[in-house]
Amino acid sequence: MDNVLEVKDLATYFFMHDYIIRAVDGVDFTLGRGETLGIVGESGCGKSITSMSMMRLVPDPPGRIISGEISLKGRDILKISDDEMRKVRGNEISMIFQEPMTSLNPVFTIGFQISEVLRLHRDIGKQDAITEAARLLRMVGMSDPEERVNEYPFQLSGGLRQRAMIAIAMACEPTVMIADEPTTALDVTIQAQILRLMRQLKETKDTSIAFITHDLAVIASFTDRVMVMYAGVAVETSTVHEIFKNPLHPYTQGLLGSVPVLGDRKVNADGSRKLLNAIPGSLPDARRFPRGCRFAPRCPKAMKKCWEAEPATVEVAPGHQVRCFLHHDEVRVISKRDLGAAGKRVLKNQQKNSGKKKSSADGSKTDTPTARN
Amino acid sequence: MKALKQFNWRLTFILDALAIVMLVSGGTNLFFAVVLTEGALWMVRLLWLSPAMLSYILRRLAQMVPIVLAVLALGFALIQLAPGDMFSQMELDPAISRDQLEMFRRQFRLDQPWYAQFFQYIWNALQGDFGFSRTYRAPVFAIVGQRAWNTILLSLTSLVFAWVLSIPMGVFAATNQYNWKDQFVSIFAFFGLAIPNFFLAFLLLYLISSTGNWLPLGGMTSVGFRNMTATQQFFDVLRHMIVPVVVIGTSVMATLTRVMRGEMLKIMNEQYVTTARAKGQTENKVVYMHALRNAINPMITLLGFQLGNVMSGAALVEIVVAWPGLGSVLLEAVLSQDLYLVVGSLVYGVVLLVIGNLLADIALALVDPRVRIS
Ligand SMILES: Nc1ncnc2c1ncn2[C@@H]1O[C@H](COP(=O)(O)OP(=O)(O)OP(=O)(O)O)[C@@H](O)[C@H]1O
Ligand code: SF4
Ligand SMILES: [Mg+2]
Repeated sequence: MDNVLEVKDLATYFFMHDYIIRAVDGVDFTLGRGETLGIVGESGCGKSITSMSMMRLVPDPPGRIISGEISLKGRDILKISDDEMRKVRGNEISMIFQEPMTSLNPVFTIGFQISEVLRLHRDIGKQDAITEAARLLRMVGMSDPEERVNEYPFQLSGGLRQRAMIAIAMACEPTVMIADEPTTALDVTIQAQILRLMRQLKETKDTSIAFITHDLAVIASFTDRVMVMYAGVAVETSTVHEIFKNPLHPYTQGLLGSVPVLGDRKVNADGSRKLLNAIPGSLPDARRFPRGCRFAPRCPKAMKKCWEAEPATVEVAPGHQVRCFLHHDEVRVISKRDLGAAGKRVLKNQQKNSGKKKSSADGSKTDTPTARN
Repeated sequence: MKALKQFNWRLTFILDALAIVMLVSGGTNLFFAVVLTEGALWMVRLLWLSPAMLSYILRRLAQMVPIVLAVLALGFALIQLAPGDMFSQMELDPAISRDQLEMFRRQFRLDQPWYAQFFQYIWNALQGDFGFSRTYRAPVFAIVGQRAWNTILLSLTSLVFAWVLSIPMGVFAATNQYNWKDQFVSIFAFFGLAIPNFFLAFLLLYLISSTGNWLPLGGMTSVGFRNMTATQQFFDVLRHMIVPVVVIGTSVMATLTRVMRGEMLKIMNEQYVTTARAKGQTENKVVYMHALRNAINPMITLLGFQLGNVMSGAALVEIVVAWPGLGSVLLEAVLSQDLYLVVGSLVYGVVLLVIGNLLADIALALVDPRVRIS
């Protein structure tokens, strides 16, 4: 399969006053044409920041993409200028969000908001853009699109708003669409309708989708491959079939622990959220990860070695990568990262503060980014 | 009809520019004509966008009636409670005979029972007749009418001054959050908020008088005003307005800048701002179109309340800089116990406020579809 998107060693940090949050810390994945990649992991593991990094929309300051490569059809979009990146957004990569209530601007009509993206990227007149917007609304299954274009977001239900968002995201027929929990805020029947619509659009337009969700049932029914994230890194990536049948990483196993059968759609969003919390403990503090494997404090199978070194991601079977010493012995080699001026500033503030409060919790067992780099 | 629907900001600005040219060149009547046309066009557009607004406006107008009546009743009660009536003063004047006084009283129906007088008072007041001012020896309406216009002129100019400065400043502070530029604007705004109006007025007057009186120190017109050309008159009034407008405007601007900054910060974190960026929109359009259009709504809501602040603020400043407005007339009236004048100016002030609030609500409906349609 030819990959339209290749992400290598993506790292996005937040430079706070005297500490650094390593929200995304070396994520690799690929996305084939027309493929859907599910991204799962518990709240705060860096899914949204990964997708915002792909759009280069991480709030700066405090956030910055500090390393990596995102090549879209062979072009590294981390290296292009801001102006060129604007031509990519909404055109080659588009995005839909979790909250259909708040992701549309309340003071502009639906038609205007759809035509806006068309006029940014296509050579099209005002009136034609509105006509095109109505056509797009029909495509996403809205009745009376000619009237809908004149309506405002607050006049539409949540499901219809999400359809309008999809119309915006699909307007320029992008290569890649990122969907950050697009159905979480909707009730179950509307969820199913939206998923059906997305599947149908992706098949007709051959769009690749990165689909972020907490809902394992949605993963099972909607995606081709799955990337499981934990504490800013991908711990396991494989086809959806493999993940459910043969999960290798202890975290994935914990996630799937009590899911009955592959493709069981009766598991609802709430049920699966509970499953994510079924693993005892919580995510490590992104300011100082454990020195070894980031899952070690919660891992039922942790060994001595797991506390000393961080495992690398290794392809243990064709198309099945895993980051765990149970399956290989390779230690992760982290490329040297230039934290720049912001990093130096944080280090300075850190040193200033460490004189003030001598906290005993700091020290040998943790691995702060400034200490390492 | 289609052209009317298309009526937009651009046409408004052209009309505004035209109105200002009219004002500068002395065509006061033409100025009002242009402003009224503009207002009418906005109303047509509003009613076109949502016919339901007509009933809303009518309802609001209907709600104004009891408020105005209550204020009038209060005014009447004040006058009745005070000893004497508007002719009591004349009893001391030997030139006026008792018969004449009786005739006056009959003319003004002061011989009738209080409820008949009440309705008479309201009826007169609705026509602008608030009785007779003792100190000025003229009908209250004639005095207050001109003064009210001066106050409106001063208040509106101060508001425009405050808005024109606070919106860009608030946006600037919000988009440079927490760096020195933001701090600078915040300190400036805090200064404007903390300094009392009358003190700032004295300070400015002192600065001007100690650097060679390059601006008039008080009043509204210069000595030779009557002999000036219309354009000269315009600039003369403008020069007299600078000090009071800066004083009143500064405090209003301080509040508005804080509100604008906070509102912009809130809106810039909204999901739809990210949506706009994710469409590939330029940062300028994201800030000035998507965010500002939303952040402006609370400012317009504030406008209704602010009008009261500005007018009472103006009252004090008017006294300091001898601006012939409602404030100074009210002070004079209270000091000389000229009851009819006091009540007349109060009623005028309240009515202006109520109308201002209505206009602010209509403006909000124009910019916010949620208000307009529901
Ligand atoms: N603007 C920000 N400033 C500082 N830290 C941030 C910011 N945005 C996110 N983070 C941090 O980055 C980490 C990853 O956040 P992210 O939003 O990607 O999580 P997520 O996996 O999408 O979670 P959820 O499932 O709740 O959406 C979190 O630890 C969060 O605290
Ligand atoms: S590396 Fe060790 S601690 Fe980490 S997941 Fe594997 S077994 Fe558990
Ligand atoms: Mg998220």
